[in-house]
Amino acid sequence: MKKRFSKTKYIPILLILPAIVMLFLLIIFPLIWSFFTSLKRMTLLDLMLHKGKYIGFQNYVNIFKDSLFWNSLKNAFIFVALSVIGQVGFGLLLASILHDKSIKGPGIFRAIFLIPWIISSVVAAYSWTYIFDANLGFLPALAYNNPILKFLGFERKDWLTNPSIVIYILVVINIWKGTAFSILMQSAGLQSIPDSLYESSEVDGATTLQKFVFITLPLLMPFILINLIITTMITFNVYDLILLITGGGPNHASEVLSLYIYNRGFSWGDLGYAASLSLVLLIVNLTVTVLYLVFLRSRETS
Amino acid sequence: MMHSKKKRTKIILAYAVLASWGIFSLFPLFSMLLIALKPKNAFMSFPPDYFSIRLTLDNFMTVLKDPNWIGYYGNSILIALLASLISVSVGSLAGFSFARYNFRMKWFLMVFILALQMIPTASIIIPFYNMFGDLRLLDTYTVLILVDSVGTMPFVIWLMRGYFLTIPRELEEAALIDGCSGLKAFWKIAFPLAAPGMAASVIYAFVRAFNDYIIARTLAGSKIVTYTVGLTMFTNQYEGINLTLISAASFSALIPIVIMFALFHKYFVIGMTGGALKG
Repeated sequence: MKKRFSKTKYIPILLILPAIVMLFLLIIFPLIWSFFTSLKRMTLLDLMLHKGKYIGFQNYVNIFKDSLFWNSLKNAFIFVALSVIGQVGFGLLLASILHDKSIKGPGIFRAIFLIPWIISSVVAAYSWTYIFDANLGFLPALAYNNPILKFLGFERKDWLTNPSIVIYILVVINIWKGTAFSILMQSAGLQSIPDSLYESSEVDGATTLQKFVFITLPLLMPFILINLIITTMITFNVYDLILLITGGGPNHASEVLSLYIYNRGFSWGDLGYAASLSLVLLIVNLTVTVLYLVFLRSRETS
Repeated sequence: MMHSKKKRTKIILAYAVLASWGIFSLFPLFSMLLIALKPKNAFMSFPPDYFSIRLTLDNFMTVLKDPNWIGYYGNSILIALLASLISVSVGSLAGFSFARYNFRMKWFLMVFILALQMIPTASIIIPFYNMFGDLRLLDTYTVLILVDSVGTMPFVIWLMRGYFLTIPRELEEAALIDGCSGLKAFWKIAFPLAAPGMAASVIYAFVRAFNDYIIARTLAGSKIVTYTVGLTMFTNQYEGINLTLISAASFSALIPIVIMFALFHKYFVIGMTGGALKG
């Protein structure tokens, strides 16, 4: 009897142990390693020769003087803010429509809406590049000699080469790619709201808008918040798409922070400096999460 | 009468929104398919010839007969299969433990694991390069399988925990009374009942690993080439005529994933939304 008791005591730990070991070795340990790399002056060549000199916090000091860093941080905030607003907003709209019982075939729509989310960012990047490309693109070909599209300004060819619009094009592409996740999250939220609440409000003569504002939105708030947090995290880390479409160009106009880290580390070969930038990105991520949580708390207490 | 007319307008509007988003979702793939079906000379002059009906299957033939491309594709499937298997088997054991047992530091561990999901790959790709370089594991299957499996594990743990919570534990307790061990109860009772959640986890983990580009490009890419990295190689390999071939290759790469989703997306949606967000 006693033996049996002590055996069950260790089972829960035994079950999580493999996961903990893998996560420690492949996420936490590299993160600690990253911190030590960030204290070194180390290039790709140094890495191969097993060199690299400790320079204290010099890399972090240099970040503040680095105009490309500030540029990439600004781009990251534009890209993340607009993408998150778009994805969560459209996600909420589409999930609400799909939740309505008078809509037929929601499964088919859901399946179609999932497609951009499940395809590789490489395929996504090429397909959108071919739409906007100046010489080969679908859009320039469509707008060529088409008076209506010409009038609307669609004949331009510099979608991906004009520094003042390229980031917004990338936002549109990212909204296209990521909204499905928000649809899934908000659908789950809507399913958690009991129908009886709507039925009693209908007896009182509430309009659709009133029902949405006074019933749906408050009850959906936890889902919206977790959606905002997760989408923000994911979006700060979206750089494969940008790397493939513009590479961060023209002239760093679409270089977001995560892409700057990658370019700095692997194109310029500045591993030490890139490691310090990557910890700054982590701090930015954590700060934004804490801000969301503080916002939620202040809402709940007021 | 007024009421039903208003309602009808609302429904038409709703369908219009759904249809627009559907078109937006499919449009890039449609234009890519169009390119894949065009002869290469359709893009030699401006404006490119998108709108005539000159269509060909040559690009698909070239791609599907290219042994390199088949190899890249096989690599991706192998890596994604093994990575999702590791992620889901290790992750569901942990998820089961979090759903069924109480122990010290449980909540701390769970929140900690969730926080790990938020660490950007950009933050750990450099130490990965460092570490695996030292271990002489760069450009091997091992490195891609390990890194890909860990990338989805935190989410899988949470998803499976949520799914196990929906299964009444009385069933397992009955089995325990009948003399099953804890692990046997998991294997015989909880595991089969959690199949939809497992399916959702496997699909999620498989698709993430299958579609990965950054890790495959950074930690491998010369000896071990995945299809995502292979796609970018068409650009260099077939300079000048890449557009139609890349499109055909991209499209052929999409088909298995789209079929998988067409068959299983119901489980996927239920598993994702039911499991991931429960308490």
